[in-house]
Amino acid sequence: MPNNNWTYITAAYAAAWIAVIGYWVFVHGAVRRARARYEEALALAARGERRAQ
Amino acid sequence: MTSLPTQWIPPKPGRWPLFGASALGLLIAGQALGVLASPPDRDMGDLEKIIYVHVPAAWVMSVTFAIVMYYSLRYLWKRDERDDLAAASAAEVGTVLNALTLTLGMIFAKPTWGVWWTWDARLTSTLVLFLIFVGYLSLRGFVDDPERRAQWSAAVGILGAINVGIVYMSVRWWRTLHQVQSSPDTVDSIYVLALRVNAFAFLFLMIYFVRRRYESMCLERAADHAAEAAALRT
Repeated sequence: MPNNNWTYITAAYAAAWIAVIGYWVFVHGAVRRARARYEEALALAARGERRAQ
Repeated sequence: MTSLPTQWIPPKPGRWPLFGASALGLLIAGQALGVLASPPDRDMGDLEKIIYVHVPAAWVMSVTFAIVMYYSLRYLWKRDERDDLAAASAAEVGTVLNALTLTLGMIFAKPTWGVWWTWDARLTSTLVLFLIFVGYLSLRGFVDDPERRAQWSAAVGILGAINVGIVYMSVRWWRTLHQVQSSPDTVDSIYVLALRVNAFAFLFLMIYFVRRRYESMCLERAADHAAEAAALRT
């Protein structure tokens, strides 16, 4: 087997890093969006509570 | 500040970002070790370097689906929605690892077997596993009722995780092109250190991803609960 298979090796490592970095970005975006939504919902609920009092 | 039921106070990030950064650092070190320090294999030459990403991705994928099974069973037993969210977080991460395992396997197969894909038992069962978990994630998108979604997801998650056993044993049960299960015992000792470092790096990254995804799913549900509580008051 030829020993110059660096194209495949490079493709494999590139695929691994694309998956890791891509998913990392996705997860951090999901956490940031979810936290913003949660804080907004809490603020709305607190406003409703004050109005009810 | 509105008070939520204790179970719906979402987890905080704590020291998890530091854990994630350390896992990423370990992955960089492991891959540098694999690419720069491991000698070419007698038969495969430098292609053996692909094992440092393909094999850890496959191992950690199996562990991730075992986590899905654990939390799915726990949900069916205790009916705590947080277990459903933990299972869903693990299922998503496992599906990403499954896709990565298949992609890396195809890249490995072309120069070693001469084809990108063959309907070999190991490859086919891994593809079936991937499709089951794509179905699992689609199902969660289609069902609105949280309880029904959790029950159906748990059933599919358990079914999918059982398939991990079939994937693992496929190379022994059927005649396959794929080699038998890889472990530190089946590779030359010179390759074991880099393989172990990469396996732990993938494992820690998986734990980090599952934890952060669980955090985001809990935040989403907590936001739903807070919004419901506010709507009931008005």
